[in-house]
Amino acid sequence: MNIRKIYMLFLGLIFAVVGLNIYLANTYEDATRRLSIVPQFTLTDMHGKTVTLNDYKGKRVLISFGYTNCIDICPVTLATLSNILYDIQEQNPDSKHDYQALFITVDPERDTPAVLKNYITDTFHPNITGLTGTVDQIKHATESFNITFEKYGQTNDGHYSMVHSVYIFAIDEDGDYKTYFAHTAPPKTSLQILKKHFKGF
Amino acid sequence: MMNNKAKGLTMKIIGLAWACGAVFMAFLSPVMAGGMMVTDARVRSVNVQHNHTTGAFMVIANHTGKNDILLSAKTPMADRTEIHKTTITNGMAKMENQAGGIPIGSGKKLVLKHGSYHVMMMGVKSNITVGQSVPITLVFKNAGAVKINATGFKINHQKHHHKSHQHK
Repeated sequence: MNIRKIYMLFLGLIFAVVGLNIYLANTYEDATRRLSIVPQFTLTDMHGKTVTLNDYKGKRVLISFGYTNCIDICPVTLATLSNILYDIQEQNPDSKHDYQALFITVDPERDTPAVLKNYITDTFHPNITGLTGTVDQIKHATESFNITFEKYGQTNDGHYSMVHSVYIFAIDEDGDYKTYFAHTAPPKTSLQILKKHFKGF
Repeated sequence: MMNNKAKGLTMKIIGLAWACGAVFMAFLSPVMAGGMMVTDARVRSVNVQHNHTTGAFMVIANHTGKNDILLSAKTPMADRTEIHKTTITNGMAKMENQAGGIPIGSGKKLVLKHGSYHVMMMGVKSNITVGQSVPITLVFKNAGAVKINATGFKINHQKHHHKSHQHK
């Protein structure tokens, strides 16, 4: 095999890897579908403090929605957020940027600050905070992210689950919405998506 | 013709073989019953001071030689137990009760895992801790009731564990 062939093979391999990464990122991310998002909320954090999105200005914020009685998607989403936060720390320990993840409940009737604190603390990354509020506050918050939620499968003995959005939203340090992606995106793909939108990762 | 002594010895050997078989089956019984083999049965830990819902995951292998249907599950640990399937449609997640049961073909495996099927336990009565054994009875259309024990586990994504992906 001559040098030229080896060179072409090498180039082809690079294109294939880059192409695959772009394909994966596009599979999990579709920022253009939700351009109208102007995120805002006034909620109560898991320590009982009233917070708005403004309070997180200066930090890069990842936001997901779920509830603690969800036994499948929500813990996986929190694990994804944990992985992202740990991976950023490991890849860039001297980063000048602070990263914060917020888990906003869609089940405010059951998810009090204490319930969220028990669910998240000592299990997931310490920079993940749970937020709750009144039903109206949660509705207002979800509407600002252009998502919906509802009770589902209520039994006659009062048990129910929630139908809800499973996306992770990325907000920059100025409080501006940047993108959203699927909770199932592998850690590497999640980081690649975030790197596109957060300069100076 | 076999004499009485030889007959007695033969019966003893057969008896011993049966006894060995019985001991062997008793040893296997935690994972195999009626030809339904259940492995890796896990139930997520829960603190009932805060939550009353949890779920169990497992692998069920149908070695009964017949097609079957997993109809329901029961546990004394919860007020209500259902078989759920998680579906995601247009980015919306839903856990749906599989009231009609889940088919499990002869020689096939049914995997109850995150993002798919699970045994949903609602109204959990007392704490389930890591390592705790939780009795669950699976009810199949043909194989009938199969009793298993699921072990308590916790998703842990703190620093020292986050690479291990303890959830499945």
